[in-house]
Amino acid sequence: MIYLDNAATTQMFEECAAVLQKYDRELYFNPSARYSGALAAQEAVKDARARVARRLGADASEIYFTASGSEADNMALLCSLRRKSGRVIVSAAEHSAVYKCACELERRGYEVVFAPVTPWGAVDTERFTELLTPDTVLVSVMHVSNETGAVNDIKTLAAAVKKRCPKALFHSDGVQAFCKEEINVHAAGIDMYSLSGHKIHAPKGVGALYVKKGVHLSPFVLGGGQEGGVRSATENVAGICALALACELAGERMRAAAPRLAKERAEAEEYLQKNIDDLVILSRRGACLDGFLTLAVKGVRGEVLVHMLDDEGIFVGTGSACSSHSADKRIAAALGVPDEYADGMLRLTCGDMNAEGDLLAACRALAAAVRKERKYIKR
Amino acid sequence: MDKVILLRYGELFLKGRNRSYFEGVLARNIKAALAPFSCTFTRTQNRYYVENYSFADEFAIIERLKKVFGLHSLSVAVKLPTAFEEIYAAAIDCAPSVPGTFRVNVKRADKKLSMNSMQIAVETGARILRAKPYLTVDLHDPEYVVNVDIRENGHTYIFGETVACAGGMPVGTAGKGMLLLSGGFDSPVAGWRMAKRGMKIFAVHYHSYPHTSLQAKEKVVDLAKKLTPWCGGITLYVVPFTHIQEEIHRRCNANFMITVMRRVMVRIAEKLAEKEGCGCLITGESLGQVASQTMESITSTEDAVRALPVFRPLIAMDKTEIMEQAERIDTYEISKQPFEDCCTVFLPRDPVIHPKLEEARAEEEKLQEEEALIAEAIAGAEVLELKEE
Repeated sequence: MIYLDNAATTQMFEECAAVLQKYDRELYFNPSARYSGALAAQEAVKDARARVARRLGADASEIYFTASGSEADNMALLCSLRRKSGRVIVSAAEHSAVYKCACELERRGYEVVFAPVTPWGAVDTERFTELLTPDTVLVSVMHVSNETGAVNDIKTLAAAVKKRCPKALFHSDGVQAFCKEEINVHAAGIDMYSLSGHKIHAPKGVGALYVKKGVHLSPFVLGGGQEGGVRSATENVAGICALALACELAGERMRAAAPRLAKERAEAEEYLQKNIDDLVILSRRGACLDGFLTLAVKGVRGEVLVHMLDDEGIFVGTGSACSSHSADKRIAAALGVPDEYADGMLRLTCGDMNAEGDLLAACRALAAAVRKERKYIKR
Repeated sequence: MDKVILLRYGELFLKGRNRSYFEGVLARNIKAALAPFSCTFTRTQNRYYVENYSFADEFAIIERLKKVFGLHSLSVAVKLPTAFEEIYAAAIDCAPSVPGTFRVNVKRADKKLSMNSMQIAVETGARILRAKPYLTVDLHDPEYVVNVDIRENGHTYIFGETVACAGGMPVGTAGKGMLLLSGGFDSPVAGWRMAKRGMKIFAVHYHSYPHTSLQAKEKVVDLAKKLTPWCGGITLYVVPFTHIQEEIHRRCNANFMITVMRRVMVRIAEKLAEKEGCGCLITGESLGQVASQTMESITSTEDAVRALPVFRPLIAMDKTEIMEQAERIDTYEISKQPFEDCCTVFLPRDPVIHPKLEEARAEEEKLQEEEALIAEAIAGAEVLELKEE
């Protein structure tokens, strides 16, 4: 099996599985209780909060654990606004978790504008700056695109926002960037940053939101008052501890794998360009993370290619796995992918656990599949 | 004082000498429906009872029985030994506890009692009024009816509400049919309607992997499973259709892609029908709904069926009517999932809408070694024996 859908989810680290076992089977106590075991669980969460904070360059008190990256995005967009009106700017290629929240804010009476992106999915800085108005209350730009791996210079964008609209909050969805792209939230001058566990080999069902000290969130889930009263729920102690461990391990392992991924990425692109006609590589080299190879082929449905590669034991994505079942062509439109290519989008994402040669093997199978399928292009 | 579910059947009353056959099949189907529950099922003349069940199962049992074709209605009753004071007490319990109108119906099979039906009804009504003074009697158009059913065996049943069941005829009394099942809204409804007339359903689905997804196939399996409470177990053939489609694509005029494809589909379905002893094919076609369901297209398809009749229970139904029915039988939510099925891959830009029969035949003839292709598809079919979950 060759797994090339690491942007959708990753295999859990064995070390994280051991942490889950420890906290779900041995130290399974409710951290809010008063006995010694509960105190140990509480300490574990406290320690995990500090470790995640360190990874972000934040203070432990600024970390709110959530059940997912999507939930963190929801909290950031829906619970941070004090003013009842104003402009909200999000990039046109945001993940659905941000996009749908922006739509909800529009319904609540905010003026929502979408910042255009380049063909490789990064925010066009110049045009973004033009959108900033004094009444802007919130800006959300993803750190790394989940579709193409495009890296946004959020430090520069945040600085532009703070300069032109000092009262606006700056949020960044860091789900795809976390542990792959260096980040120091204080130095970058951002107010909120979302991350998710299962993209970095931690279990599914745990995420976090960084919220800068002084930014007030209204409660998202009411109840026992956990997570500073913003998100009540008995802490997912095991998941939180596994997340803390994963962000340390993933950082090292992804750094170690980076040169190899870059080399393989370059070879793969060269191979595809040579062997598939009418192909667009959407992930621009240098501007996108090397783990991402998103492409579009003309006249062939991406889903069919996924099935054909599946038959060869190769798992790849068709763009955002969260939206691949909807007829949503939002992202293709934002990237300006021509219609005859839009159905043929594929996303190959490598990670630190891929073996050398995985990507090239997949590209060979892909080229063969495209050749075969093109025989049946609609007449 | 035990709780009992009384079952009544509908159209079987119309049957003459072979009525006992229909009753026997119905009883067998009811027993199968009740198999997951701990309860006893008894059958006396004209009546079926479910007894000795756990109260926690009552809702589930009723929901399950509502899907047994041949049952007309049911009521949850209290069963007690025939004794007047106990009857009155139970009737008071059964009467509503909110203001409204009611009447008492009494049936007295036990003629040895000291009072006749009318007298019992009057006394029961009076007791109810005394206990629940906010109720008033309305003999002609009451909001609520308290039924007192005194049987000859020394037992009395008291019940209020009557729950409508599915009606129709017991599945298995009207032969077997092979349903062409796609992932859409129509074909599950077509199968359901034939099952309602007592037909045992088999199904065939054509699968075009990798052009269609594994989810598309799972969707069809889910749809067939949704039908199992109504139909009993279903044998589903999932026939690999990709090779045939590729061959049609290669050899035939593109505009006739769908026409030829449907001709081959019914040929395969008929072969499977014969294998299973089915007496007909069933499709979800509705006249004029899409290009392949014009009269000419239907004629071109039917022409390829050798011997069996093709039943099209939805032929004169509107899409909205079909969707409503799909919602009632709970297939709607599954059918609306957006997975492509084999009819939408290789779709020509310009499908022929009114194919001439001669042309359709000629196009199909271009397909070489059709028999071998069909045999290969049938040999490769996955056979799923779906049971109710």
